[in-house]
Amino acid sequence: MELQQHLAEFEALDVRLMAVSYDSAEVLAAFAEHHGIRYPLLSDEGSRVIREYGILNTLVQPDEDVYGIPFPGVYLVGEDGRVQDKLFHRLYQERDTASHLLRLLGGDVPAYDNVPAMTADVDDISVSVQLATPDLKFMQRTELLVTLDLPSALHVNARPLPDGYIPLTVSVTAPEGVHAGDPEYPPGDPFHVDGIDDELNVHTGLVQVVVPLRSDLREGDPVTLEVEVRLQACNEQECFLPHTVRMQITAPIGANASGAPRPPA
Amino acid sequence: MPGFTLPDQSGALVDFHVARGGKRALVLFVRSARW
Repeated sequence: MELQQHLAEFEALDVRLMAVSYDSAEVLAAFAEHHGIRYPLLSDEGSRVIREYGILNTLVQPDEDVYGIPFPGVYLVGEDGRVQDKLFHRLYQERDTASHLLRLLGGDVPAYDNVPAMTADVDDISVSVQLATPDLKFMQRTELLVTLDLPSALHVNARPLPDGYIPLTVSVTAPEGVHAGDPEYPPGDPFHVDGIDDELNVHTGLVQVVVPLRSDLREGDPVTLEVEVRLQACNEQECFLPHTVRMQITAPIGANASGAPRPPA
Repeated sequence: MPGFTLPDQSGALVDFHVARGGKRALVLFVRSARW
């Protein structure tokens, strides 16, 4: 569903998307038709490939109805057919969003419409925060995107930095049931100031910090995430007072997609 | 990545390395389309 909505972005990166499950081809056909899925859904009925790849979910007991499912995850296969990366999860409920997978591919985070977002301005720097998905779904891995748009004359300090300097810092306070991971900062560029021996790093232009999120909430009222962005803007000659920008993002709790309708008897 | 051949939702057999046509591929392993 969500991957289908962003299929064009995967195709733009010239990446083939395929999904494997232990369902029969009939079940997959019903699911594909119901949800308009156009990429291959492959039937590993009996879990032969799942077992060969060593990803059979061993947390499910053999006497359970759902025995045979894999640990959920993804392999990124290169043009040469070799595995370049993989991302697997322990809990069967977990799933990765298109945003997460596109970043794994080195692509841009997809542009979403109608997502929770907020923007503030400080020292001519636009600071925006948006959720990578329209809502938070149970066990779906998504991201909070913090973007700074710096004018050409300004930079902000980036990690690593000597003591005494204030690097760009993002912190997220999530409500109970929502888990925020460590922010992922882009690499900074080396920067030298005449007369100062310290090795500095800076961010310029468009800077995006990604905060991984996961929700354990199946339903309920929208939740609010508190986001703090601490930064110190500088130009070639001087640094300005540091600022802490505080913003809130309110995200609805979405329902996971329905399973395939049962095929006719 | 070891190859595999599985039927797709139309019932057609899909050879993974042939289907990806020399391109990068994302192969997702998911729990089920039914639940």
